[in-house]
Amino acid sequence: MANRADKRSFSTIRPISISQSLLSRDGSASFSFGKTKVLCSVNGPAEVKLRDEKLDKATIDVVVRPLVGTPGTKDKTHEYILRSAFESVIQSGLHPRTQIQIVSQVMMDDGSIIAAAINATTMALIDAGIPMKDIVAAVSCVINKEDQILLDPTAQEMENVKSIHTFAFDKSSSSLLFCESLGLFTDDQYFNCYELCNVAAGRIFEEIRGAITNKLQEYQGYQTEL
Amino acid sequence: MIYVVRAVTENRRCCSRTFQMSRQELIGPQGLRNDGRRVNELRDMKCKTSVLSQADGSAYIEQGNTKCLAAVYGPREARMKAQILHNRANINVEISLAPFSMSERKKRSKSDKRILEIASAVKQTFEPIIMTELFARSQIDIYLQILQFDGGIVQICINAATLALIDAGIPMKDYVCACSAGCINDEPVLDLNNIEETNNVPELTVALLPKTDKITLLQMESRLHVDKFQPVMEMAAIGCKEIHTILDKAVRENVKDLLKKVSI
Amino acid sequence: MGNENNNLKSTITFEAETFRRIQPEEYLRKFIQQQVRPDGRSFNHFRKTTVNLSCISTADGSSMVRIGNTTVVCGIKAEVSEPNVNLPNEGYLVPNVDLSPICSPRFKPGPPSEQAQVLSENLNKLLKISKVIDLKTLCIEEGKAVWVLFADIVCVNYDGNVFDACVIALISALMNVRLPKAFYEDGLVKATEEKSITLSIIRTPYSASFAMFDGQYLLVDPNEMEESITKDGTTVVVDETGQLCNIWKIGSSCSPEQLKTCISKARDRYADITSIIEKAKQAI
Repeated sequence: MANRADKRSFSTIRPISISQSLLSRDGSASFSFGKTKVLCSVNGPAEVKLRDEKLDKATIDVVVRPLVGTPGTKDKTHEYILRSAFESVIQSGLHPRTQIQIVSQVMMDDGSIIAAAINATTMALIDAGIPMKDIVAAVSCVINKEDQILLDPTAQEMENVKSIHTFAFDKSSSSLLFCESLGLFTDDQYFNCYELCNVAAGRIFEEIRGAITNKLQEYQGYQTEL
Repeated sequence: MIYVVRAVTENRRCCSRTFQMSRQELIGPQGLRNDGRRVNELRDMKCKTSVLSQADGSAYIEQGNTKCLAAVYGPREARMKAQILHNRANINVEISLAPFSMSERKKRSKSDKRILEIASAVKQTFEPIIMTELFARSQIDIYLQILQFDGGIVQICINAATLALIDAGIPMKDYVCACSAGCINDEPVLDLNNIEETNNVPELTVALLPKTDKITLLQMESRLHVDKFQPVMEMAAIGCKEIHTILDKAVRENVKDLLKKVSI
Repeated sequence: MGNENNNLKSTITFEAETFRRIQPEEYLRKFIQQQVRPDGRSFNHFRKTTVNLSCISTADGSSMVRIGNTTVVCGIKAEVSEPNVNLPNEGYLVPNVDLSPICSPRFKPGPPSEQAQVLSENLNKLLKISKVIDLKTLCIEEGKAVWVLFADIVCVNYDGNVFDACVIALISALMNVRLPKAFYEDGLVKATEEKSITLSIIRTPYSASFAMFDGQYLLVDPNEMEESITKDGTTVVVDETGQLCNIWKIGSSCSPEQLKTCISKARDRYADITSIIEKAKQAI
C-alpha cells in the first residue's frame, strides 16, 4: 500500500500534542496535528460591552489571528465557523449579560487548520471551566486525484485535490456539528469521509481525555505534596 | 474599429482605460442631441415606489440610463448618541455607487469626497422640507444606491429620495423635484446625460418645490455667462414641473394599488 | 380594580405581531406545529425565484435575482491586469458581496460586516475549488496581460437565504459576460469595440439552503425571520451532473439522514433553477 510523504497510512492522523494552561488567561490551550499548531485562549465570563449585551445568555466573541499580517476574510470566516460551532455547545444561558471571549492564534499552518482551531478551542474552554453541554472535536480529510481519501492532510496534500472536507462532531451523540466540504464529490465519497472522520474524532476525544487526566493527576500530585 | 487602449504598466496591477473619443458634436444638424432627444426633452423616466420589503419606504427610479434605488428607514432611534438633536429628527443620507455602475470600476466609492458632497447636498435639500420637529431625538436614514450611472446623479438622488420619503409616510411640506439643465452652443438644454456632462457643458441643478415654486437647491460648478443664466434656470424649472407630474403619478398609482389590496 | 387584575392573570392575550416581537421562537414553533410556516409556505416550498439578465448596461455581464423578497444584483466588470508570477497564464475572478445598509435595518454603514465577508469568502472558495470557469481562457498574453473579472454582488433587499441568491446571480452573470477580442502589442492591450466572446463555463453549480428548527423540522429556503431564529443552516451546492460541489453546515448537530434529505432536495431544486435561467436567457 502506497504511503504518504510523511510515511503515514491514508487513515492515520498526525501525532497530536495538547498542552493546557499556558497563558495567564482564564483558560488556554494549544493543539497540534504534526506541524499545524493553534494556540487558543479563553477569557470569561467577563463584563460585556453594552452594545453586545444579551439579556438571556452570554455573548460569545471569537477572534482569529493569523500568523502574519492583519486578519482578512479567511480569518473572519474562521471566526464565524468557531462561533457558530461553539454557540450551540456552550451553556451560555448560565451566564447572561456576560462575554466569553475566545482568541485563536494560528502558530503554524500545515493543513487542517480549522480542525486544529476547533480542537484547541474545546481544550481552552475546558481549561477555563466554561460549562458546556458537550465537547467538540474536528478532523479534515481530502480526496486526491486518485480517489483516495487522505485523513488529516498536510498543506502539501491539500493542493491539487478533488475535494476537501472538514467535520466537527460532538462527543455524546457523535453527530455532526459543523461541516465544510468543497470541490467535487459524490454522495458515497461524502459519507465515506463522514464515517472516517467520525472514527478519527473518536481518537481525538481519547487524546483529549488523556490530556485532561494527566493534568488532573499532576494537580492531585501537587496537592498531596503540599 | 479599435477603440480601447489599455496600458499595462510594469509595476501596477490596476491600469487605466482611456477612451480615444473625438470631441463629439453634442447637438446634431437637425437639432437633435447624441441620444436622439430634442433640447427641451427629458430622458425617459420610470419610477416605482414600495419596491423593497425591509425598508420603511423605498423607490426605484430610472432616468434614461441612470438607475437609482432609494430606501428610507425611520424615524427610528439614533444610532449614535452624538447625533441626537433635542428639538428635531436628524437626517442621515448615504449614497453608494455600485462598483459596476460606471464605465470604469471604482473601488470603495463610499468614502469618495465627491459622493460625500452630494450626500450632504441632498441632506440640506430635505432638511427644511421634512417636518423634522415632529420626531425629536430620532433619526431618519435615507440610503441611495446607484446601480447604473449615466449623468445627473444629484437630481436622481433627490427625486428618488422624495418618492421613498413619501412611501415611508414621513410628513413633508411638499414634493422636492430636481432637474438639471445646461447650455450648449448658447442654447439651453434640459437634463444632461453623461456624455454631455463630461464634455464640459455647464450644468445647473435645481431642486424645486412645485406648489410654491420655491427653490431648495441650486448648484452650478462651471462657468456660464450671466445672460444665459436666466433661460437655463427657467428650462430647469420647467423640467422640475414635468418631473413632478411623473412622480405624482407614481405615488397615486401606488396608493390606488394599496387601496385595492385593502378593499379586498 | 381587583376584577381587572383577575382578568389579567387568567388570560394574557397579545396581538400576533406583539407575540412575534417578544417571543419569536415560540411564535415560529406555534406555526411549525401546524405544519405551516409564518409566511404560509409548506416546509418544502421554495419562494418564487426570478432571474433578469443584462439589466446593467455599464457592466460586461449582469443579472438580477429575486428569491421571494430577497434581491441581489450582480455586475461583472472586466479589466486588464498583469498575471500572478507563479501562474502566468491564468486570469482572475474576484467575487465580492456587499450587504449595504439599504437592504435591511440590521446592517449599518461602514466597513463590510462579518456576514458579507463570510459570503464573499465562501463564494470565492466555491469558484476556485470547484473550477467554475477555466482561468486559463482569461489569458491575453502569457506573463504579460490577463483579464480580471470583478464580480460585485450588491444585495438590495435582505430577506434570508442570500447565499443561494448570490450563487445564482454570479453564475448567471458569468453566462451573460461578453468580452471584446483583445491583443497584446508592445506593452499595450488593444481591444475591439465589438463584445462577442463568451466565457467558457465548465460547471454551473447552484445551491439550496435549509434551516433546521428544533433539530427535526427541515425548512427549505428560510426567510430572514426563520434564519435569525433557527441559527442552524445547511447549504448544499450541486452541479449539472448531480455531483456535489459544496456542503456547508453550521449550528447544532444533525444526523447523516437529514443531510441525505438536504442533498436530494438540492438536486430537485437544481432542475427548477436551470429552467428559470433558460427562460431568462430567452427573455433577453
